[in-house]
Amino acid sequence: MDTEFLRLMTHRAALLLLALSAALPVQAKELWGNASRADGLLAVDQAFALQPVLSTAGKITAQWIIAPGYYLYLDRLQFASLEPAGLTLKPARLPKGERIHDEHFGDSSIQRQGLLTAEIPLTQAVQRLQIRYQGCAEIGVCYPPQTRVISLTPKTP
Amino acid sequence: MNLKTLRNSAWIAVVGLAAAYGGYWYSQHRGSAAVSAADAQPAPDFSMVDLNGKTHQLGDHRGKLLLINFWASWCAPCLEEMPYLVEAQNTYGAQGLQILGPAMDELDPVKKIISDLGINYPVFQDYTQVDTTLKALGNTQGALPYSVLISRDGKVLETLLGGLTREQVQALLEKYIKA
Repeated sequence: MDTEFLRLMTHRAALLLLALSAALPVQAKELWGNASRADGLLAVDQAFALQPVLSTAGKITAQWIIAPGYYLYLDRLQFASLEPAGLTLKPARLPKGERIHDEHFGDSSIQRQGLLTAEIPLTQAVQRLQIRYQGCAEIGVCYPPQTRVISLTPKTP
Repeated sequence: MNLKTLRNSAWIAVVGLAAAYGGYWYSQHRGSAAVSAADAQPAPDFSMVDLNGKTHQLGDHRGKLLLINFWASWCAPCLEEMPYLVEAQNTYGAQGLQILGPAMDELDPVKKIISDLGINYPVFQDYTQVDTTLKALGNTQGALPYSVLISRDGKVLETLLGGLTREQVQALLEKYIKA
C-alpha cells in the first residue's frame, strides 16, 4: 500500500469525522444514559443529577451534573431551611453562568452541561433543606420546577 | 487545483451535505410522532374544568379537530408557540379546529399569560386534572410544551413534544383540517 494512498485515506477519514460531528451534538443526547424515553428526552434526574448535598460547619454545598444538551436556570435555584424552620439563609454562591435573553423572561443566567456547584453560607446548622430548581433541554422542552428535601448531617470540615 | 484535490473536495462536500441534512432531518422530527389515519388509536377520555367552570370531556369535542396544548408560564418554548396557536384558533376555528390549553401551573401566572397573549381558547389549571390528562395522553415526565392532535372521531393523530413554529402549526393543521 503506497504512502500516498494512506495519506489520502487518513485525510478523508479525518474530514469525514469532522463533517459528521455537525450532526453529533443532537445524537449524543440519545446516547446519554440508558433510561431515555422513546422520544430521547432524559428523565429529569438524569438531565440534572443532584449529587449528595454536603453540610459543614460553615456552608452547605449542593452540586448537579448537567447532561449535554440540557441547562439549569441559575436564577431559579432556591434554598430554604425547613429545620430549623424560618431560618433565613444567605444567598447562595453560584457560578456566573451564561446570560441569555428571552422575550418573555428577560435576562436570565443559565448553566449548561457539566458540574454546577452552589454553596450556601451558614451561620447555624440546618438539619433539613429544601431545594428548588428548574431547567430545560436545548431542543426546546422544559421540565417542571423540581423540589427536593434533603436531610443533612453536619460534617467536620 | 489539480484533479485529485478537486475530487477530494467534491467528496467532502457530499459527505458534509449528507451529515448536515441528517442533522436537520433529525432536528425537524425530534419528539414528534405521527400515525396514519388507519393506525390512529382512540384517545383516552379526559375530564377537565376550564377557568370559566365549564367541564370538557373528549366526547364533547366529537366532530372537531382537537389540539390539546399543555403549557406553563415557566416554559419559554411554550410561550413562544402560543401566539401561533391563538392565530390558528382564529384562522381554523370556523373549519372545526378547537384548541384546549391545560396549564401545569399556578393560577396567577396562568391568568397573566391569558391576558398578555390574548388566549382565545379554553384554559385549564386544576393540577390533578391536568396532570392526569397529560399522563393519559402519553407524557409521563411533565416536560413541556406537549401537544396532542385528535381527529374529529376521537383518535390520536399526532403527539408533539417541544415548541412549534408558526409554519409548523400551519402545516400540521392544513394536513388534517379538511380530513
